[in-house]
Amino acid sequence: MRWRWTAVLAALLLAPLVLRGPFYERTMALVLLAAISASAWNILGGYAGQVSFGHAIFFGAGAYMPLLLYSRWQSAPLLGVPVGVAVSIAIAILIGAPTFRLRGHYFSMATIAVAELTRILVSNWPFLGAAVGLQGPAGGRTLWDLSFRSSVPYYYIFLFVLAVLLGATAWMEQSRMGYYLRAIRAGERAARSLGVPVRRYKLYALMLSATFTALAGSLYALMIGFIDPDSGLGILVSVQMVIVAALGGAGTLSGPLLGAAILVPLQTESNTLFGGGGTGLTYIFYGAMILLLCRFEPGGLLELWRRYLAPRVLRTERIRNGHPA
Amino acid sequence: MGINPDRMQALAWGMASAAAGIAGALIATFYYISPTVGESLALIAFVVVAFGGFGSVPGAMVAGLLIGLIEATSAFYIGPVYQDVVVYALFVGILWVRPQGLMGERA
Repeated sequence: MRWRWTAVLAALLLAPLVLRGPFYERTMALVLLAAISASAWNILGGYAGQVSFGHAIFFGAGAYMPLLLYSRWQSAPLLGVPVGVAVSIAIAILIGAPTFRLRGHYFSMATIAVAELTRILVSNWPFLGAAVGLQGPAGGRTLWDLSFRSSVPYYYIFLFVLAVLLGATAWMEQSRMGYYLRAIRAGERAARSLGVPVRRYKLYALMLSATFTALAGSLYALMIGFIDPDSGLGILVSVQMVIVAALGGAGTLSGPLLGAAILVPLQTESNTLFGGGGTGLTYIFYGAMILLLCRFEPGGLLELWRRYLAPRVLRTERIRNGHPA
Repeated sequence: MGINPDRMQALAWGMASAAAGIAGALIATFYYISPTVGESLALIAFVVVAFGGFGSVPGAMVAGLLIGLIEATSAFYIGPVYQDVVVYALFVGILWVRPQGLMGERA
């Protein structure tokens, strides 16, 4: 297991030296960004089984704060990152505290409601740029603005954050919290009857997930240098995290990375092929993906691999991951 | 016990879709239509059911009327862009104060 991750890390570190040119560099950076947000979603949606369709709100909080600080007070956008994280943790508690007392669809629906509510509010609030959005620095004044022309510096920043996130998730997998979360996913009532503090741990998972989603949003804003209600808080932002994680395999460490590596290049490719007229295609593509995944392989591609190509690994891995054997 | 859950779920799904279809046909007579018109209405329908209490028919009825009135008054007093905001905020408020809804049983 360890040598495989080392190989992946080495490949990712060397990739910009092999695949050169702005298009590849940008696409690779976006793959890592999608992997970060999907891995963050995965902590709650995958491991704990609490499906959120409103993670855009955390992404948006992380994306808006740096650009808000820059455009209102000319401070370095980087200073807004901790503010964005703090705001999204506060929102996480606001949503999680009431809905985690309940089982079922309440949490999923509450996340959509809060995300839509925020999107409409932000779209009409001139202080946050309303429907026009906010812009970052056009060129870096100092290094602290983290404004580069090439995508390569961003690529390495994203890679660092992704490595930290996956490291934290791997550690969590083996810790008490990981076992608790998988127990909650397998059966909340059973977990509660065994003495798992269900509400508290669901909230911890949400807060951890929100933190890293906000970081992903901040990184997006730093790289793109522009944010508006649709790109920061739109429902598509939330859906993308779900699809990327589910395609690779929700509740696994490498699933989101695999999903991002497949989905993001496909998306950029379809954008270049069909041009501006093809923006709606992304939705069609996502819809088809959800349908196919639900119908044929809810476990994602990793599950497919396990079932057909590695039947021997299957048994031990599934048991270790807390799936019913 | 001889109940076929797949069949019953399919039946419930079909009936629910038919009822939503009828609602759509009725609303089309006085509301604007666009390919995405269902999005906000679907979320509001969920809010109504959560407000009335899951599984309660009179609850959904009363809550539906209430939400409609709240939407119309807030559109008038606060502004049409904010009518959905008021309803969603109400939904989050309900989850805090009375998660079982008006007439639902405790979840």
